Amino acid sequence: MYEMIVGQLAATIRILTPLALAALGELIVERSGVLNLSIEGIMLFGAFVGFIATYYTNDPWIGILSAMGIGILLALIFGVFTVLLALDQIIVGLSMNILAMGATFFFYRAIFGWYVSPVPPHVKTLITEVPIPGLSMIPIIGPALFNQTVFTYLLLFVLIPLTYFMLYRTRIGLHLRACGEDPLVADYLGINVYKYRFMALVIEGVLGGIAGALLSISQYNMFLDNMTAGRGYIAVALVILGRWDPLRMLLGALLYAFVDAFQLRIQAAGVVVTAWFPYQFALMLPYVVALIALILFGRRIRGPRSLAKPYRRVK
Amino acid sequence: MVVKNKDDYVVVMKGITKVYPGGVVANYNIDFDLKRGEIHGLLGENGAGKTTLMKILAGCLTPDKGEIYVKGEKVKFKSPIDAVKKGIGMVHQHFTLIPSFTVAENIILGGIGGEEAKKIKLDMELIEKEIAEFSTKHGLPINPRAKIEELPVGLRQRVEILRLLYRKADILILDEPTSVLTPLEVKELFEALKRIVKEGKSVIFVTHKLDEALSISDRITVLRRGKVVARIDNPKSISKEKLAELIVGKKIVFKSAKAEVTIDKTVPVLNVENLRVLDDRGAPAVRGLSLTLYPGEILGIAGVEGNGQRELVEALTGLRKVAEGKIVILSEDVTNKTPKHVINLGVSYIPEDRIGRGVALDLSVAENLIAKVHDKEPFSKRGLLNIKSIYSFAKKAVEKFNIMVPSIKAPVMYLSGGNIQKLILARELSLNPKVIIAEQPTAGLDVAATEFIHKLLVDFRNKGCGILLISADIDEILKLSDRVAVIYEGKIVKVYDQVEKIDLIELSKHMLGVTSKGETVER
Amino acid sequence: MATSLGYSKKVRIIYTIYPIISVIMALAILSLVIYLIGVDPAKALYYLYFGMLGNYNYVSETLIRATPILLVSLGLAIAFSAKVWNIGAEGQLYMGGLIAAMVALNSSNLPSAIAIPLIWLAAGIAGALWAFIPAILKAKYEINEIFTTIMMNYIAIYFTSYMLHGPLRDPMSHFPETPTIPENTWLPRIIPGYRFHAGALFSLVVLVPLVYILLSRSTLGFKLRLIGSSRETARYCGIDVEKGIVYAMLLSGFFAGLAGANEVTGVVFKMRPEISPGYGFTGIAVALLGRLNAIGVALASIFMGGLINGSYTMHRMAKVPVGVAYFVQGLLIILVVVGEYILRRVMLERKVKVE
Repeated sequence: MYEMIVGQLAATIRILTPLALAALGELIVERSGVLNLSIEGIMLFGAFVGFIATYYTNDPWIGILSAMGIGILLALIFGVFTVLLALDQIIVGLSMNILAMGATFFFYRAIFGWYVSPVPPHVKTLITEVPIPGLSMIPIIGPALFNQTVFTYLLLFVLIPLTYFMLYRTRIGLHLRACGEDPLVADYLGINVYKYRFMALVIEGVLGGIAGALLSISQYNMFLDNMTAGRGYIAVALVILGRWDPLRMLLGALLYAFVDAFQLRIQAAGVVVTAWFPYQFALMLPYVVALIALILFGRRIRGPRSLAKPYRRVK
Repeated sequence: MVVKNKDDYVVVMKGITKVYPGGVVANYNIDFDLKRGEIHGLLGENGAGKTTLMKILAGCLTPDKGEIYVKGEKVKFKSPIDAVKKGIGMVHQHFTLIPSFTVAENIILGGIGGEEAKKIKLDMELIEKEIAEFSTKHGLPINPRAKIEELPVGLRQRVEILRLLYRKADILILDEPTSVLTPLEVKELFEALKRIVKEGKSVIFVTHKLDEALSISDRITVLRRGKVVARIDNPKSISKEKLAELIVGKKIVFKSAKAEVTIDKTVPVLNVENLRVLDDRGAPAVRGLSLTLYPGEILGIAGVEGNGQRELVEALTGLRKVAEGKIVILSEDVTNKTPKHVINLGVSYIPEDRIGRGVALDLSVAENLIAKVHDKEPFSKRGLLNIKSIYSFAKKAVEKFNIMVPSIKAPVMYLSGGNIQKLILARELSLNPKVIIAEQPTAGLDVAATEFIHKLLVDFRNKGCGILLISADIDEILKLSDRVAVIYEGKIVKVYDQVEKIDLIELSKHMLGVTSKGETVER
Repeated sequence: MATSLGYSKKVRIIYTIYPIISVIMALAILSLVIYLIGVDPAKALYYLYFGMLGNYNYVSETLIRATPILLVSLGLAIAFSAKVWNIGAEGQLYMGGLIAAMVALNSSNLPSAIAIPLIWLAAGIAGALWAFIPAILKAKYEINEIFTTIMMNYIAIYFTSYMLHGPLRDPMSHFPETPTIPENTWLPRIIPGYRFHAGALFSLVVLVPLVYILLSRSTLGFKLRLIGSSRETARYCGIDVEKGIVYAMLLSGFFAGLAGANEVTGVVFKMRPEISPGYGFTGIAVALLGRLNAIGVALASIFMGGLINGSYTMHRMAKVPVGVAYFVQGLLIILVVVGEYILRRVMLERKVKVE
């Protein structure tokens, strides 16, 4: 029983990490007024590039760095189209996701397509957990919270508080939020809207790339087609449900991760082979829960006033 | 008035010329100067070029020709921030505030001015304290923690002015500041300006209202069609009529073209009883409002923006739910009926938000013109559109209303603001309405377009149409209305049955909610 | 993305030529990539072309492959015109296919002329119903439909998997799939010797003009386009926006359901988990490529169908990895969508200068 609870909590935190990293990046970007749906594609490419780099160098940290790099690149491309050229953010975001799906599909086969081995390509060295001495011994919470990867610690103890502080207690945060509320006014008052939005996008690229890489070189040890399975879109939903506040977003992400962890563990335990709870319903569970959460808590929410509106400087 | 020395000019503009793409000459060879410690009135009609000239001075626009000297130094502004650095600040007609932020946050936005604003970490409590002191010191007290969206217009303007002062501006430009104020608030503003000027700062006051210019300015410059037509060094020496002549260029006849209408006025076209409507946030905006509109009259609704006009109009046109009360149009109870129902009864609505509500930018001129009748004959039959009749109707409408379009098939986004408004009018008026609701119909338009629209409204009034005119421009209300109703905090607090007999001071008291005893009505 | 009553002739010509230019650009980029992975681009492109249109059989196959894409994107053209972003076409297709198989398996004693339309109708309704929940949520509660439809996709796919592993499973097959549907429910082949079937013909010849008329010449289409251009203006003009959004979603769901029926009754003759290699998503790309115009969508879906088939040929003969089609698809959509907007902006600026 104890094992089950601890296992569930640990799995929750483990699943939470990439999701919340991506959602945090998306939150910052949306606060600046940009709706970046291509976070899904960024995560996917992050998973892919991270995997490839780790496969060839056998060093998962190179994988992480490469994933960060591709994330920045994709975010910048998105920025050029939506911030500089002021094109429709939804269409560009969706298009980049389609491109990401196609490109990762194609390039994976281009690289590995001719392998004859029965075992799919996988990496041998992963990003593994780093237990914090002392704290990881605390009953229940210890193994759950303090026996995770470096990125979990980074997320929970550094990034979330830092973002919270930045948004509400610094000049940068105030200016960022102003860009999201009314870029025209912000620009007029001397705030460089383009700069803030691009900076936000770069941050999202880094976080999203890492989030994707954690999927292929930490949680699993290989790359699967369309591995992100909608996690990027879930991240966007988490931002909305969290009403663009880092702490609330984290709470929502926790709940979602809890459900996802639950269904995964149920499947793995082989508990449900009975006819009345087929495994497909377990698989469905996170998506159903997300839907219900949005129905219950996501009505008529308004975000930053200028979210998803293209902004062009008129001179 | 503190003048250090007679030739102490803080601003000198020489030979300013600005031509907009498309050929409109906004400013032509304008010379303008501002003395230290003076209030300089910049006078002219809508479209005379005043805002353009001031935007050039404030760094928002670059002139095609000409030079600018600020405090003796030649300057070339590439952005408003350059101007701010030289001490120039401008309060525009459309406020540059962020509604969901607080007063303090808005004032320090941009990080210019006070020391606290420049820091990376913001200590909001300290900043708020600083701003509260700062505002009181200048005689413009304000609560720094209030959110802009909760403040009435007059106070929002105060925040704009305070921001200029916080940013250490000593040359303040106010563009049509009184268009959103009641006469009493105008008096307060003038007193504040006089105080500011005593501290050695200088003010440029842009307006199209003669009386104001005459009463507040130390000197006046008159613009007409982009050129300077007069410089008046002693405003006391000139008469209103002479000044008006200078502004418009010909003898003014202050008469309205309203005919005597013999229409049966016993049956009102619109009757509102005890209406209660909530705003977007659920707070009551219309609180027990009653009014009556008769055929063949223009009823002007005078009121400071934000007293429930928007919610009232939306309730009347079916765009907003009514919490309580009754709306009867042409003897039919239309409370909470759909917009389509109201349209079909013969109600036309000219919205304030032209682009967001009045037109669909991606659709063509023709499609916009028939947008409200697209499912009626002859424009559609059995679910299919009749393109030919749509185009022929559009061609006629464009001609009749003198709308400049590249083609009736062109998307509306290619039209200029004035033409968009004409398109909206063409559409609304060709519905043969019995009731017209007009919200700020001539805001931002030049004189020709304004006159055109005024004439149209009067024509329809003469034909027996009942018109509800909501306007922030008191002059327009007084010019066009047969009766005037004052709206304050969601109620009609006074109805004037005879326009000619209106006392302006009393009118503005009602607009501000001041009772005859001189006390302000509590919310 | 205006499908309004057209602008000047010159502009329309540019708007139609530009997609062709984008295709050339995309193929050029593809050639570069192919070269970089060590394959001769000329050879690869030749096989690509051959696989698309090389002989009558390939042409037939291209049209067959294009049909589900066409059906999905016709529906999406309707939805996107109202700016209703239905990303759930894939799930709606699955539900359509599932219902089609169920109805077909129970229609063995009906004449074809009744069974087939019945199956298609049922599938369309299934797709529409699957779109109904996101539709209502958007109309009544302003909940973003991108997210809800994506969630419904996953739910549909897993639900289908459950049905195919369980209640609907063919007891005699190794695979999770339904039994083969009875022959009276199979779509007839139009030309003997080729797989080109009635569904493809029907979609091309009947549905494309129908949707064209719907979008650009009907009052419903006008309402939807007005809603897409400005919701507030549409409300102000008396249009019931909530109803319009629901119609847009239901219609696009219906078409996606038809796509499912098409695959089940015309190509595979049973329901399988792999019934769609992402047609629901390809449909999004094609709808945007065809710029929400029925004719454009028809051309774009034929091109895309050919591209997918051609990529298999290219893989077999020139060793170019599978997935080329999706890669090009992604490239194309970026090029076209981005290009169209840039073009529009340029036209706008030039227009302002003239005035």
